[in-house]
Amino acid sequence: MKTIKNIAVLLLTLVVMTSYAQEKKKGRFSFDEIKAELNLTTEQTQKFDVVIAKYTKIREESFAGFRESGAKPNRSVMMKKMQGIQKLQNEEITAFLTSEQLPSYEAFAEKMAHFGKPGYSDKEIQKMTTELALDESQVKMLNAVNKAFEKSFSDAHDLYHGNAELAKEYRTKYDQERKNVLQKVFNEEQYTKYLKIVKELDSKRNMDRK
Amino acid sequence: MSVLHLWLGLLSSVVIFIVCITGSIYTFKNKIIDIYNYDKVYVSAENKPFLALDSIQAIFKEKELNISHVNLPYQANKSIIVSYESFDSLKAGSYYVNPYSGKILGSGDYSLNNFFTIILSLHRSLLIKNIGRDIVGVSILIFAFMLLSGFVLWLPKKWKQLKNALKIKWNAKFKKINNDIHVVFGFYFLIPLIFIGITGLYVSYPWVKSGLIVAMGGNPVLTANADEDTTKELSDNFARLLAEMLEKENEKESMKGEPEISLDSILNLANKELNYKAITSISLPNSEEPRYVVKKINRENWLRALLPDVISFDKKGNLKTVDLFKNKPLHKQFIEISLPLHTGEIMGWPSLIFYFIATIIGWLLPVTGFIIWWKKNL
Repeated sequence: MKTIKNIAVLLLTLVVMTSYAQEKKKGRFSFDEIKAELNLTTEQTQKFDVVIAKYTKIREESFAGFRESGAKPNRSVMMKKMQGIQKLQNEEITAFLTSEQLPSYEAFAEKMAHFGKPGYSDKEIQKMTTELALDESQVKMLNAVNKAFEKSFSDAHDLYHGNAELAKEYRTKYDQERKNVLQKVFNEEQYTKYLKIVKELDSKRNMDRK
Repeated sequence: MSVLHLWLGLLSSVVIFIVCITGSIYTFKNKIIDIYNYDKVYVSAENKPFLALDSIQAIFKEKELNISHVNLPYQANKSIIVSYESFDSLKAGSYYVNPYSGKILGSGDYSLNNFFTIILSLHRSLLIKNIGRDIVGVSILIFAFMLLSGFVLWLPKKWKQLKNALKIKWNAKFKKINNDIHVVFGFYFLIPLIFIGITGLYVSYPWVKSGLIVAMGGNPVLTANADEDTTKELSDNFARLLAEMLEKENEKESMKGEPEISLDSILNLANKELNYKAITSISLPNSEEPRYVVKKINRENWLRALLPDVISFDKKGNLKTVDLFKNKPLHKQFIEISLPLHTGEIMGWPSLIFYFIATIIGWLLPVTGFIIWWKKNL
């Protein structure tokens, strides 16, 4: 009996330890990794840790505010709140980084911004607005269709939750709906440019995911 | 049957044990965090109404904070949770606020979240990404088979044996008590454990999800081979949301600079529309969302289940959308409450305690089953 017990405990411990290590390794973005990449000074490291701890607490408080109601939180409202908090965190961090460190952190921040935000970011919409020379009504439509995409994808969360393949199916379907609408809103030249931009964005996002 | 029951049980027992024990701990996550923050979450109940929300808003404004979200409790002895952002947008967070005096009690300590994150990962995937979910999923399927095959094995051969099959002989020897716990509790908790298992599988397996949704009258989940009805439903849904988003974009423009209706007025309007006492959350308009969104957790049903109703108003207080749980088709109702149905939060404390007992039985079954096998092989 003792041997069986010891083997079982040992096996369980090994499974938990190795798998937890894997879990940490496969995280979508890691503050430890970006800290190492930025090669922070001691003073910067201290500031960085203070900011991360501060905003981790704010995030936890905000989650609690949404979860208190005893039912599922409104996912899209919550994600918007989280994006706002992320923006504040980035502002505090970039304030003490050097111009050499900034590009690395900005790339990391963009990667982080895409987590939980399936639609185009403000920066990406700005890029489309400029490069496609969109007028006011087209910008309004682009914003609306992008939000419809985000809300549709977010509302389907319960259906694809925990299944990457299913999530991809829903993303692709709603992305096609978004493109169908924009094809009618943009002229031919604008739409061709738009497809080129989103192709670049998609490949960049896929790289980030890997 | 008994051979399959034995070997499948031994095969899945460790996973079932981990899943059940972590489930029974995670069930109480929110309650434990509340108790951990007791002095902020709970206040002395007073025999008077809550302070007006506008007064609480004024207290926050004095501190140069804008309220972004408010959570009003159902109980008289709980605090209000207020989420805020500073005027200069450089600060954000949430405070617990005394509902009678408006005193800010501080923010919560959520350091236990890390512990519960690990418990949840263990529960869902044994902390092993991708393959962990499958191991758990297959083990739950085996567990469901074990419960059903256990029921068949439990069935007494004669009616007069039924009485003995329904009770535990606590004064018997350990071997007999262990056997009774396995068999009798396994029978009593057959349906709750299968229900908890299936609602868990709903999360892990698209085919379970599709099966349940279709059984309740919905379309299956989207796959590469989805039928026309499924894709059409999604296209219609997208078109409906696009119309709503366009209306909101227009609202942002037309109501730019307009003063917002007060929080108390919104609460009154919401209470007129949803006329029952409930946990209520209000999200205030912001640069992205031009509307007040009010969510009330309706418990006015025979099960006292927590069923969410959501309504929204524009800045002037005009009712824009009403999304009542009772008006949703059955499959959407199920999707909406699948998580609290799985965790036991659906009916508050009574269901939490019942689920806790059920999950304890769930992890006792493989333990007692293993002991039965081990004693036989001594």
